[in-house]
Amino acid sequence: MSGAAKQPWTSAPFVRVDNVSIRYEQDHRAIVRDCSFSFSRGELVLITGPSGCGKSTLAMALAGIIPNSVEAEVDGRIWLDDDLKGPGKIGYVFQDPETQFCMRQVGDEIAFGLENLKVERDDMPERIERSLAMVNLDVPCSANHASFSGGMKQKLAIACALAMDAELLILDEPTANLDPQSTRTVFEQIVALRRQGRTVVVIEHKYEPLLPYVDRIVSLSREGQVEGVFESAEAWRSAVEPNPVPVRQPSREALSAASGAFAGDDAVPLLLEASGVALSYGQRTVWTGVDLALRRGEWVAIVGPNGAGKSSLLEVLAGLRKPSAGEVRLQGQPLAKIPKSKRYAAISYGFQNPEYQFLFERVIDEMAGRVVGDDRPADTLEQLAEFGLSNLALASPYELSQGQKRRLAVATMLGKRSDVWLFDEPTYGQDAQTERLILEKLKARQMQQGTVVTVTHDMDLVRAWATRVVVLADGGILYDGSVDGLFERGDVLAAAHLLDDVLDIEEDGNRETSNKGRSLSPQSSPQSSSQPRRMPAPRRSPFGMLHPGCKGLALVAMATIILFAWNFAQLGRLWALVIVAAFGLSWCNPWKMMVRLSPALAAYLIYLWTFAANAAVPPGTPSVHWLWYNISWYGMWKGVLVALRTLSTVVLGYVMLVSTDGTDFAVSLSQTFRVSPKLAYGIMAGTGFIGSFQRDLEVLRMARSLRGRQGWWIFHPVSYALPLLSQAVRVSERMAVAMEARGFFGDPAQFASRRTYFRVLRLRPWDVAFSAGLVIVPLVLLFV
Amino acid sequence: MVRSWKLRDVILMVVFAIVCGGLYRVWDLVYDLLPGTAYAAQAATTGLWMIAGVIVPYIVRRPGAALLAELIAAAIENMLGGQWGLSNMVSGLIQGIGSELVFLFFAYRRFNLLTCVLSGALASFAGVVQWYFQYGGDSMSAWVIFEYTVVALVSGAILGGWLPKSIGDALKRAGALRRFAIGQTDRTMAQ
Repeated sequence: MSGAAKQPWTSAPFVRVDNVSIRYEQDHRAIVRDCSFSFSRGELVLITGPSGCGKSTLAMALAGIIPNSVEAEVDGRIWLDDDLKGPGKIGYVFQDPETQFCMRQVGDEIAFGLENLKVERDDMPERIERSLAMVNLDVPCSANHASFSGGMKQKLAIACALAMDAELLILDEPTANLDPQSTRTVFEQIVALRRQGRTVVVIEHKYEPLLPYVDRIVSLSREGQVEGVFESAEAWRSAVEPNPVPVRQPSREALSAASGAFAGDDAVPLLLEASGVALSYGQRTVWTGVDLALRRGEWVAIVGPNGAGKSSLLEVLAGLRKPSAGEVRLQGQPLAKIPKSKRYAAISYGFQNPEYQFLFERVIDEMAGRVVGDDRPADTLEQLAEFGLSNLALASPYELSQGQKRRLAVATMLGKRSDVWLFDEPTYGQDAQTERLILEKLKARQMQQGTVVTVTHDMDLVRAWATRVVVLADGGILYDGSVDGLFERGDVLAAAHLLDDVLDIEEDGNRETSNKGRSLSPQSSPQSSSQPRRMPAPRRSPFGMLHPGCKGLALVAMATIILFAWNFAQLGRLWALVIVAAFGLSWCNPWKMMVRLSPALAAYLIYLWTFAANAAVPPGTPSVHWLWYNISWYGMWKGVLVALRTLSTVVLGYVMLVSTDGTDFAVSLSQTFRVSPKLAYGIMAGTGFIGSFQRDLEVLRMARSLRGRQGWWIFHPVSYALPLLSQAVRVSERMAVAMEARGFFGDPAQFASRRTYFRVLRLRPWDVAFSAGLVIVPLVLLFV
Repeated sequence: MVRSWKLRDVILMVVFAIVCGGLYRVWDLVYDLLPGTAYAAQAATTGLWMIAGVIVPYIVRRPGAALLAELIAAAIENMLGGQWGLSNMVSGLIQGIGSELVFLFFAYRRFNLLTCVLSGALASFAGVVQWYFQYGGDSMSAWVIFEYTVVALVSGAILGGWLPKSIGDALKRAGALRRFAIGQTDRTMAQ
């Protein structure tokens, strides 16, 4: 099958792959087998094939990520043009926009790659600006990319590669998580790159719009072999018919039979009904005034732009999330009043991240919904076989590939007998065959008078399978009606990013950001730093201007000194200093500080009582015996002393937080204190995880309650640990791979002195003097 | 077999330390709910604050992992509004040293139930020392101090040693840790 490589070469290839096989250490079989192909400079190459066939593996091998960052055994040879050797020459854009960044701000993010190449600091701003212009991303360098839409994030990832002068760009399913408009934006970018003469390799499932621009198609088989290399879309189409394209459409008969109910059809019984439902988090409203009536025999697709709150609408419909207003009723009964066991017998739900719903340690137990032991129920095995999972029956669900995990999650849900089937992106990441299997199963449920609701970005799926479509955008339902009707409503399509045209990119995405992630890098410097960074901030407190690492050390030293205070006179003087530091030197807002520290204050009151009632009292001191307590003023004063001592360090901790920019702090570790960049930037990248952590926890809670395994809250940490931590492991691995793919290996990662720095954090004599003061003054106050 | 840190070890350490820091913060609240006089109960909670110092070195098996993880977890707890402020950093430091010492003593070659339990217990002991000097343990009666110390050590061994080790083992069984030291040592032993 690999005969395609034996074509005669007219010019020297840019990249040539000769009989390459790749095997991961833990696997017995090679995932990529005997692959041979090549392509020339300036070509746009598309790699396709069923999910799990090793496309990403092959691409990572091209980029050198395998075996440098991801261990695997590579046989055969990958020949690269001389221009592609050296860090940064091959840029890699990953599927998941969230886990490929390691900084907070756009400027820092692009500069990270440049720092790894040891580009001079003075050349950085220009290269950053140029790369942003190349991808047409009009944002200031100080913008926080957590608030970007998926499409913008992928553009930023491309800009990061371009800034490093990448000669070859590899994009691994860059549009997998994107709404149609963002997908188009990324595709346009790919076409523009080709026009600029860049060589681009794209791995895609949804490649149709790209086909006219593709110069070469490498098609991989399920077994990981090259099925063929085609030089045009036509050649490819004629060779691989009837494979991928037609599979997406269901048979016409199925469609006409399923035309079922429509929104206005009152004769069909109402199953699930939402009236006047709204959702908001604190000040921020996600959507309001949502009325939705779901009837038996319907397939409703919920579509809309990234960040419109589609998933949370589905969660509200399932009763997994409490709406902030309105009510959801199941067969006329308020959902909140139906006991969970009954509610989730009637409602099935599939999460976007399949891992969250796993409860058992073996696939077969997961499918059966109980520990089956050694007797393997025939029907369970049959269900597994249907979804191509029978040879994995004894494996751990967490061990499966992403596509297999999703298949298992969908299969377990489809095994239930429910009335309502709510699925969040059920076919995402599946190849055409599995996708069709899942969709047909859902169709069968719909035909049996069930109601199917799917959230999706895939408009082809909507067109082919749904009987009704709901558009969620701009904080409410923009459209609710027939599928054909939607495609006549240009205004709705445009507003919901379902059209291909390019809209203003600043708009969406803001909704999904987490406050937690932000609080890590308090806005002392970030907002001020625009194009030529480090413009003097309008007004910064003395502490805000202090070198962050130096300040951190000084404050911890100060806190430690305070812990040695043993009488009230000392504590009084030291507290005066703490108050000067909080309000005089770092300009804390007293009110915000009180709010933030109030839980701690409450804890300290309890503390006082403990001491008053329990301290060991020296002989001769008055005390009152009551029950088993021995209450004394002596103990009370002891308690006040202990509380004041520790509370002062709480205030200092707060001062540190509000007066320091997280990025500055991490960078200063490396730049000033010569901490290995691996550690400093690793901390930076890892803390980005805090933002997604809360969301992960929340979804996990919902998944557990859905499957009736919620249990007492006291046991949650135990049952949450495995899925949450295995997610954490995966995120860590992905982040590390993405950082290494951007040249963060070898000396620039190992030694602080072997890289350049975009953020210049000089340790001035003033910093040292001031910090020394922060240590000396409390020492003096302690002993005078 | 002491190997140098890989980037993925560093990031895993940070991410796990963050999860632990969040857990510590929640645990702070549990601690607050305990009646102030229940010293034994308070001491029994101690071990959980040692988790990071055992689970991370147990997985990545690198020198310094215990200390750094415990420090970062303490910093995160503080960021999330911990009630002990920068005293947390002191706790993180001395408890981290406690955990680290055990693994160091075994030259980073033994990562088993024994070393994990010892590590959790020694970290807990560091916590007891801080309790005695900073949080007023010295003003308690001798019996309370004895009781507190013993219960804290047992808690450290169980919650801070056995529990994180079991979580690490469960993650390994789930196949999540193949590319980390914990997953690799075993394979070489099996062959």
